Amino acid sequence: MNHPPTPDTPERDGLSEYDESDRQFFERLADRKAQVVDPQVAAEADALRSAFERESVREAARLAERDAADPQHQDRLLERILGEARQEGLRHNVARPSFWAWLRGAGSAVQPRWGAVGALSFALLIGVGLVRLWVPSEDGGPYGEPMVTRGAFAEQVLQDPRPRQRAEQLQKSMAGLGIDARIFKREAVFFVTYDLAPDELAARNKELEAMGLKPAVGANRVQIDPR
Amino acid sequence: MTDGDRQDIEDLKAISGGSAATVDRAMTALYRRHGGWLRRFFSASRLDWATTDDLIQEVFKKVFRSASSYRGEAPASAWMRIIAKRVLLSYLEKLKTDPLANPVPEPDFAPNGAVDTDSPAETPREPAEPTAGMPLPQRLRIEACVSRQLQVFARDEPLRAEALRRKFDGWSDEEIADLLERPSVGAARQFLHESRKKVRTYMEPCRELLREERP
Repeated sequence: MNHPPTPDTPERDGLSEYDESDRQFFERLADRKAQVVDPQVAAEADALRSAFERESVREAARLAERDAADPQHQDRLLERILGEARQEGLRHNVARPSFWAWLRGAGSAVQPRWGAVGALSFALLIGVGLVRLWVPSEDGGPYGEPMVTRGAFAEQVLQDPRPRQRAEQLQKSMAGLGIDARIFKREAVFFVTYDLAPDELAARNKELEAMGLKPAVGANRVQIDPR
Repeated sequence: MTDGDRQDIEDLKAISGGSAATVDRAMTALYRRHGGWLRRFFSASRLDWATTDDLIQEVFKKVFRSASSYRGEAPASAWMRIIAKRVLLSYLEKLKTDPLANPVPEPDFAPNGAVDTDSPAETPREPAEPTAGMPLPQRLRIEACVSRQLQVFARDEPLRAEALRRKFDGWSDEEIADLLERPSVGAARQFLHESRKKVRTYMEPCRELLREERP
């Protein structure tokens, strides 16, 4: 369906109604000496031009008066602009303060005097937790990479009485080892499967067996004991 | 590239990644170099003092936000002019959708033709040519009528009033097409043609006055 052309669209360029009368009118509007044939067009343009002139003179006078009455105005506007830029900067950069600043603030909010001590204690606690997580236990991780220790791994996987939860724990733990594992269920038995190259598979399966799990021989899966 | 252009590039880099003090210094330098022409640019739209300030501030806010996206391919003044143009257009569009933001003052002349000559807003500074030979009260009535109708037109059709003002200021159709972001000069002329048609309807009561008094 063809829609009629709407004003101001380029489609109308070829059919522009801008004509000789418009040209004369706008010439007269911009330049009072412009020759205009139609007296009606000249009268319109002149009346409008006079109004624009008065508007222009009035605004220029207002601006000049304002400038004279308030010479510090430019500086104040600059201050406004800088103030807003600082606010913007704060929103962008300081909205996320450093962890230490946040911790000091949080500690001070609870007990200003003990804010720093509280922050330090909290940091120590977090530090110990991180060390516990990232440093291998005495018997070390299977391949030396930072990981959940083997003891904790077996504990998490084997202790939960619910098979689905144990499967999920195993999946999470394997993710910690860098192994992308998936869970599936067949006839009420949960399996955790993973993709490993054959040479790595044997070593990994041995590790899993040592933890009390039952990896299928030569296969990329562990069956979760339903208990 | 002029020294000013190079300095602009340095300042915009400082704004996008500098410390608070550096940003302050760079913003101040940019304002000192560009605040003047920005004020003239907005003043050409006959905006009042406070609105001009607000729009200048808006331009610098956008400059601050997008300084990191300035690539230095064109002078910063051209880049800032595009920002200023968009700020002005957006302000004019807002006026159209919110006429209360731009109220028209009460008329300075009574319907019976009496003129409030105390009003500085309507005091003629430079008698206009077509009304020069008329008795003073009648000329004042016509001028007051046209000024007021123009204000009503500017409130209802801010973009069209802007186009006519720029035409009065001697801008070319190409410049108006660029300012109003019309896709072509033809489209800008079409817009001007329709603006003229619209403003004629607003001038109808004043045309009667002109007709009455013309010899």
